[in-house]
Amino acid sequence: MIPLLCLALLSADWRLHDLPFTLATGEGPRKFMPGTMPGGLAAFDFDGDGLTDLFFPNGAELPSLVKSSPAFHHRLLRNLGGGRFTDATAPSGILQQGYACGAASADFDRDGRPDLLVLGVGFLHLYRNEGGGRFTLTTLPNQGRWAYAAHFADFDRDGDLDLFIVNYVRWSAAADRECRVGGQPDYCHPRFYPPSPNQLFENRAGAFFDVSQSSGIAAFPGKGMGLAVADFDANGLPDVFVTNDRELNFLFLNQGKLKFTENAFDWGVAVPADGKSPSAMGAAAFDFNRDGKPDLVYTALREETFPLYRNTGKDFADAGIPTRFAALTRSMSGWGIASADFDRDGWPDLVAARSDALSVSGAKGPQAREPLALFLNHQGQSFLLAPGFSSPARMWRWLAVADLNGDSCPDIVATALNEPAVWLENPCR
Amino acid sequence: MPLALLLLLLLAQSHPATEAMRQGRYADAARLYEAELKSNPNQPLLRFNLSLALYSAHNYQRALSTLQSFLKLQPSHPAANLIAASSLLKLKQGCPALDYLKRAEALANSPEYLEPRAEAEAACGNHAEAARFWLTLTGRQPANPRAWYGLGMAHTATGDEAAAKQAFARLSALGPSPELNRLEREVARGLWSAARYPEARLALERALSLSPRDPSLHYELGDTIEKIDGPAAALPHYRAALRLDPKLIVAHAALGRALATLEQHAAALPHLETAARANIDKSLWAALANAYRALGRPAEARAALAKAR
Repeated sequence: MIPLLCLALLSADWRLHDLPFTLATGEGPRKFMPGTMPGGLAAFDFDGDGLTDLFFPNGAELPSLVKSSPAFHHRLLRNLGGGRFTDATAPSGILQQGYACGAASADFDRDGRPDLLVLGVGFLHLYRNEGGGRFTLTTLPNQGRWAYAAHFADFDRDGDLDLFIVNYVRWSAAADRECRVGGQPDYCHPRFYPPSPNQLFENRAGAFFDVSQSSGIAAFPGKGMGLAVADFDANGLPDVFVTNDRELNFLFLNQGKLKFTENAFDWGVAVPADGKSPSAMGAAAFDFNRDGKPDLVYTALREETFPLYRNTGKDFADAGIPTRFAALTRSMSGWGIASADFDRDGWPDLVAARSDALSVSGAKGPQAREPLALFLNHQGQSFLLAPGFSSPARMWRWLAVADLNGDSCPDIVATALNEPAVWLENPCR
Repeated sequence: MPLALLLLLLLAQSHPATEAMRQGRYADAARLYEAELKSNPNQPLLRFNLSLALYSAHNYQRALSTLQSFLKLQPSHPAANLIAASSLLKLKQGCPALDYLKRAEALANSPEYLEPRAEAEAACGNHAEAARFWLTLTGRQPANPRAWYGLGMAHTATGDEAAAKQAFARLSALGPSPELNRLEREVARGLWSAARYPEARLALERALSLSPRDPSLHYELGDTIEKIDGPAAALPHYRAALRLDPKLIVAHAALGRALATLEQHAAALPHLETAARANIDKSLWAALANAYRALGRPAEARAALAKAR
């Protein structure tokens, strides 16, 4: 059993607990591109005991992408309840291999046990949950692409879960560029790397088949970082919004039978009104005005604001200015974003993992670190920063919403580069 | 040109190349020295004079290589080391200049030495040292705006905000001058690059008070205010810039983008069209495509989007 490393009283309200996992990025003096990118995670009840467990994929040495020390190991944490976690990695059969950036979980084989996907630079590792804390690996083809985010959904409405993979740029150690920002080594702008198409896998009786070409997905190379899946056009089929880093975003509308059309521009979400493609990162679909239509939000870097869109039913209208969300986020840099009704007032709120994309050891220095931000939704009209919610400034990357203590209130689990992951416990009022 | 003393020494000589130098025909002087050097390759002084002519003609790379040959023969020659350092600074290689400056310390009391030394220290990240040299220079030349500017920037870099503010105040107190105006802009741009927008805004407002009819300054102020307060607050400044210079493309671009963000698509359109056609930035075509789409002009929207890709 691993005790929580630290219990810090953040405020009278939310409490922050360090978790027994530290994300190791492998960053050295030379800033290899993957070093700023990891931090995805999965929250799922792998042992079926009713408590949400956690899986943290981890980085590796750079540029070799080899897990040369235990510091780079992925970690599966079993939730024992009462704020206690035990390390369940070793017996799980999860491979300690590769530079991982994200994870996703769903019961793809419909055996009642949630399975696990681990993805990263040049690999897609799909683990079937065999029960008893054991997983078996199936490798999905990804042609050496840098897989960055994923979502399971029944895209063809045949009753099982298909899989959408978001791929980032084409990168290899040999093709890595050395960049400087403010005279110091730092991470490169994505324009230095070519785009890569996303992937769609169809689930046929528990086996996945790559249908990227036939679905139309492969025709759109991008620099994907996040996705939001929802039925945006109300045709009864899940659609996919993909954020692209400094490129036009994609909105893949599901036409049925695993055929998609790309409609981001016609729907007004390819690029903000000013024409400048932001460093679009994490995305979330949520119905902020409770009109029954899924709206959209995604994070970006400082001065770009986090674009927020209201779904009109035929396209998206900017909602950042009328809700004050643009003003709130103008000075923020964000990565992961998720929605839940944190204050239980019936309106979906937002939480964002914040920090710059540049290295804390670069010219930006400690200013690259930012605190997490919780935005409360005031009756679908406006957003405000939650009073009573604060966190230390870190290089926060990605997050998940999960009820870790079984009080039926959504908590937050967040990762940060080279620092412990945290559990932010909702005061549940 | 910070090497007045050397020039005086040189010009005291009687020589066609020296005459060219005296008349400010530095490139001609360099050619003459080069020709002479071909016939007298073992005269170090000629090589030194050539480097001085090349430096004065803004040919810093060749000045440097000529000096490096000279310094092989006379490595501790203070003036040669100083010019080599100055050349490196002009070539934006400030940190390597420091080695040459340390070998030129015999000239350390002269203002011609203090300024490059401070710049080189700053380029090496030794901002406290840079501040020390700038401070000495302000003592010697209290009316030198560059000295106060450098001192302010060095204090800014060390985090001594109060001292920086004082130095910039002294800079402003020198009164209006083209040099001061240029430096205020430099201050503003430096602060802008460091994302210190509120301070950049103050510097731009100071510069505007000196040059109220400068359209670029109005544009830059608008751009800075937009970073702080969003597009609506920037509109008056972009409009002011265009009143003064209706052809200022960056102001058309900024005004068009700001209006589009505020969903004033019809008002944004002419500015976006003007700016997009100037082809300064492909993303302007995307902004234009968005505006056409919002105004129900899908064919034009598609055409503009194709240009944005």
